[in-house]
Amino acid sequence: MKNTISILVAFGFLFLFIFASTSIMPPENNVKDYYIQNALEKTGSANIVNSIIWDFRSYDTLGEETVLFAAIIAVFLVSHKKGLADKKKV
Amino acid sequence: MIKMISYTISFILMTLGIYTVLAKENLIKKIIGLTIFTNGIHLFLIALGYFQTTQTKIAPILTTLNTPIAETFANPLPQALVLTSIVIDLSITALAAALIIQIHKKFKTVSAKKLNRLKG
Amino acid sequence: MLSFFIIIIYLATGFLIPLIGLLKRKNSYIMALLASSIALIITIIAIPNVLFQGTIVKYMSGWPAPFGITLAVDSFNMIFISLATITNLMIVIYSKSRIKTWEVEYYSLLMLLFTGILGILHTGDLFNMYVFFEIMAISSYALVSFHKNKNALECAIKYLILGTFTSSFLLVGIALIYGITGTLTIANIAIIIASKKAIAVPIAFGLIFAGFAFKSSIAPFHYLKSDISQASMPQISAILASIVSMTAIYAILRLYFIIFNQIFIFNYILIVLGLLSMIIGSLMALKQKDILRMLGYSSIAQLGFVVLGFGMGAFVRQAYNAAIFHAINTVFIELLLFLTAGVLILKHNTSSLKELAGTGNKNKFLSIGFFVGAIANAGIPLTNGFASKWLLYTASLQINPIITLIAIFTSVITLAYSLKAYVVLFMSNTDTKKTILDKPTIIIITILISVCVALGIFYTAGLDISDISARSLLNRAQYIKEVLA
Repeated sequence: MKNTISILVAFGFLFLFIFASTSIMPPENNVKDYYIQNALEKTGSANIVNSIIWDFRSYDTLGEETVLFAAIIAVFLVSHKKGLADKKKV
Repeated sequence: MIKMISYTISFILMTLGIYTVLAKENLIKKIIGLTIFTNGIHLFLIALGYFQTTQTKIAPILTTLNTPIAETFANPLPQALVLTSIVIDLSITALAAALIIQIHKKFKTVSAKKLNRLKG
Repeated sequence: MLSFFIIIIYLATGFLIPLIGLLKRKNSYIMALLASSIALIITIIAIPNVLFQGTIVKYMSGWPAPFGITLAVDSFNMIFISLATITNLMIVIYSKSRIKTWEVEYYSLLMLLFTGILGILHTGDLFNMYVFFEIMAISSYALVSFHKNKNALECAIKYLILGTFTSSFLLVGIALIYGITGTLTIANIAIIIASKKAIAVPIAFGLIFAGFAFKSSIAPFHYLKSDISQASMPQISAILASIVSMTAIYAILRLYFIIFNQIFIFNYILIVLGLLSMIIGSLMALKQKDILRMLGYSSIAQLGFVVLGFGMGAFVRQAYNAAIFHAINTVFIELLLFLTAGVLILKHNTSSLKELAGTGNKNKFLSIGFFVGAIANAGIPLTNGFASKWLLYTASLQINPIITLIAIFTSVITLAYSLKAYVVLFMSNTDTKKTILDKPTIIIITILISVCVALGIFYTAGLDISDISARSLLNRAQYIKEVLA
């Protein structure tokens, strides 16, 4: 019973996604043209993906590092018997 | 035609991921299903960026052999988004694995059906 | 932009607390307190700026509008930002005497949770919203499992799997929007989508709505809310019920009013989901035997009112004011209820009503607090719940009297279970000792009671604030013009 419902839900999503993706059209004014043309002169990097991550959208990279940090603190919280500062003094 | 095949393969991956999360009982299998689902989304995003014109594309790195004309490169923006998303999913998988280890220590089982202490 | 410094302060504190807390554990509380106080002062200074200037826009790293990330704050944002900073300060002060081990991890994760909340509230870029949403989500998964007992671990893994599942739908929606428009700045998407008639636009909006709706616990997505409320600490349940839900609703509304404005059927959907949340929340709360589960279902019902107000606003303009005012009231009422009940729960280490019967007998102060929260929840005159609910009733009378009937029915049932909880906790005939409250808790509960009563008596001030923010919510043209200028 649970199997059939899951299969139906999953294939429902498959058809939904296929239906939705038929209308993805190439847009005329895409942001990527600016990135490709100006990456070398404005940021000095030959790798365009790097210039996006570290210069044009560096705020997103900061957020991603914060997610990594929060996950590290969380794994520490869940796994250890003693806390980060649980020593005998104080 | 090639476009629809690439999108359909990534949608099949997403569907398999959704099925695994919903139908399997073992918590570890659910986490694996979650990873399959998110990898399908990453594939969809990169394919989206690649098929926006009909020329053959090269990787978005400027060397001495190519000039920055926008049509000859693959789209670098979805690749940056996928890099961020991969790190986020890695963190979630790590946290889920740590939680499952603790659950196994306390409950002696990793089956989602047996975790029903909270009811009502 | 002055309020961007709040994000920097919370982020820096979240990173520095493990560093400095290694030396001495008490330092983590002092740093968290300092950060929250400075953030509250900056918010109070930043409010007049936003009121005078309309929309304040900041381009991160200096790149112009559609090519970099933009932050945009207007009056609709500012209300939720101030609510978030006030909530943070109260929770930090409340947790001082109640977290005795693992303080370093607790305060660090709390600061990162509020970094995520404020990041969503400031941003004007779609993928940035997803990244900060994940910061908020991971911190909340970790904080739910804080005490690592059996209930908390089970609830945390269920919350994690369901939360990540729905966040991935959010990412699919963002990918579809990028495929149609080619840009990620919200104002730019709004201009481009108006000229494209793609079938993928409502599908993408449906996926994005599903992604945010699980965190906000409105009706068909409310399944785990009461389990989370029962299994986690009372102050974490308070944050999840009040400010996290409001942030998710803010994200849905911002995207709807700026980008997807042409999907008119969404208003009907909001009304139906609001009514469903109200009915399910209040009826399920009536038969709970556990105070935290009851408050969890009660928060679902209150969020149903807010969502109903935003749905009715397309037909009656005043309903937007009522919905925003009710959102402010809900945050304060939920905080008051959860924190007051949390004192007794943490003292006696249980949350079932049978074991907590009469434990608050000798505490006159706590009983006043819970009583004010209970009648404000139901919407009795002289409290803040009354003004917003009255406006919602009159607005719904102009649409369909059935909606008014269901809303009044929900308020009556809310009064029933709130007073039942009050009588069981504070007026039963058992022999208990008085719970000694320390000074910070007394200060917080006093502030919350006085805010509830003050907003109830001076409700015109609250309605004026809501009117200003509703006007800037609907002012789509000015938002787009300011961001892309």
